[in-house]
Amino acid sequence: MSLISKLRNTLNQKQINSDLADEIRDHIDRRAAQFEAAGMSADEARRRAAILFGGIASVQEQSREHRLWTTLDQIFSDIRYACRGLLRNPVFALTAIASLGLAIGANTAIYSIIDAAVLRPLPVPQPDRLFTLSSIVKGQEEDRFSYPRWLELSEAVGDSGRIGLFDSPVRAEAQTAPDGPPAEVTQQFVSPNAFDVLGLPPLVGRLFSPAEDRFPSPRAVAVLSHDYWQRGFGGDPGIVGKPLVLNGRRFSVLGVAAKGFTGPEPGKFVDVWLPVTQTDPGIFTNPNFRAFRLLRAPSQSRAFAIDPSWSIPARLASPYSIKLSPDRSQYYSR
Amino acid sequence: MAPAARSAQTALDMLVLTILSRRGPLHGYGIANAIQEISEDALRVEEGSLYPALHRMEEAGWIAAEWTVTENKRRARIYRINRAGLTQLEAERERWTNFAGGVARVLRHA
Repeated sequence: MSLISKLRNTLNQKQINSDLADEIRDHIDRRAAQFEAAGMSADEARRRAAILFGGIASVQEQSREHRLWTTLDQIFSDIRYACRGLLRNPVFALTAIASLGLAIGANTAIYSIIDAAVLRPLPVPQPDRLFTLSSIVKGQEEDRFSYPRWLELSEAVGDSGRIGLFDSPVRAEAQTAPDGPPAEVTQQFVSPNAFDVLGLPPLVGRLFSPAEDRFPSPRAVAVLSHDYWQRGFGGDPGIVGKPLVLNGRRFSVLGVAAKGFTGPEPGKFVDVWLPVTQTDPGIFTNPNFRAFRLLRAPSQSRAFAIDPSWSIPARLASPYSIKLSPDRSQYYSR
Repeated sequence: MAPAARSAQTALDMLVLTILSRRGPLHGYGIANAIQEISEDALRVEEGSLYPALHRMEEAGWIAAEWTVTENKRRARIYRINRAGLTQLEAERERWTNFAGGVARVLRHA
């Protein structure tokens, strides 16, 4: 109780000080009035009353010590002193503030990266069963593949697994109605089996199906992230089949991905996924168009049996060697 | 236990608590007059030193204070003893009686 009332008193010092002054004045007035009634002159009465009372400053000081949280009070005056010092020397103050700001900012940035890269796994059912494919070309590791290469590798994997293909997420202009206002979104082209590979179920509607969406007769469909479904469509339950215009091209919404999944790359939040068959047709034939990351998951039939020794047929391995490494993006941010 | 080095402070506390418990609510000036009257000027302290003691006891929760307007329209801070103060007074009184009794016995038998 005492500490709380002391804290209140400390924060309300003006009141405490003026109360104390009033109380002291009241006492001296009454004593002086008593002396005056006994026949003293007004001046003499006041003087005697003040002497009898003793040192006012010392009374005030002692009383403050009892009523205030003196440590807190001293901290306040230290802060006031520090502020005055900083104002007197603004160049020093700005330098100090800027240095602290930069240092804190740098640490926060590093922490965000560590947090994204190490602390949070990709929100898919079995992130530890995903592998990133990379190839070694002339000693250089390369994790981008062409579309034809993906087809070759997928075929070579056979029953031992599935390989998904992921383009880099890019910004696009989206309109939720053909004449609606444009908004910026992040879109990503993926292979039709991408969600299968990740093991993600749809939240609403369907996701891409490997049976359809094949070149050369792809459907113009789009899958939304849960976040974008909420943000752009207000969580509309009848979203399936609604139009979505991306960079002027019309797609219809096929479904919504599971909540929390915003793409396989740390720090990039994908709003819309599109079938890779909807992108530049050049990718299908040009083996030099190496834009895609490949993610491999073991096949359903061999659930839990990860086979890291899976080897690339010699025909495909030349002139490359293919390497499987635990997917970096199994660690994920948000 | 013997009253410690704080005995002057304890004596003042007991005096104030006793006055407030017997005479009811009073302002500081009234308490000062009562002390003077009871001790027949034996305790000549500077009147001002009463106030830090009052504020200390107030923070300790033994007495409560409240601003009121007196009969002649003046603001006055009125102190009243509360339950914790009465308990404290009782404890101090007992300690003091034991101590005084002990000293009396020693003097009698020495």
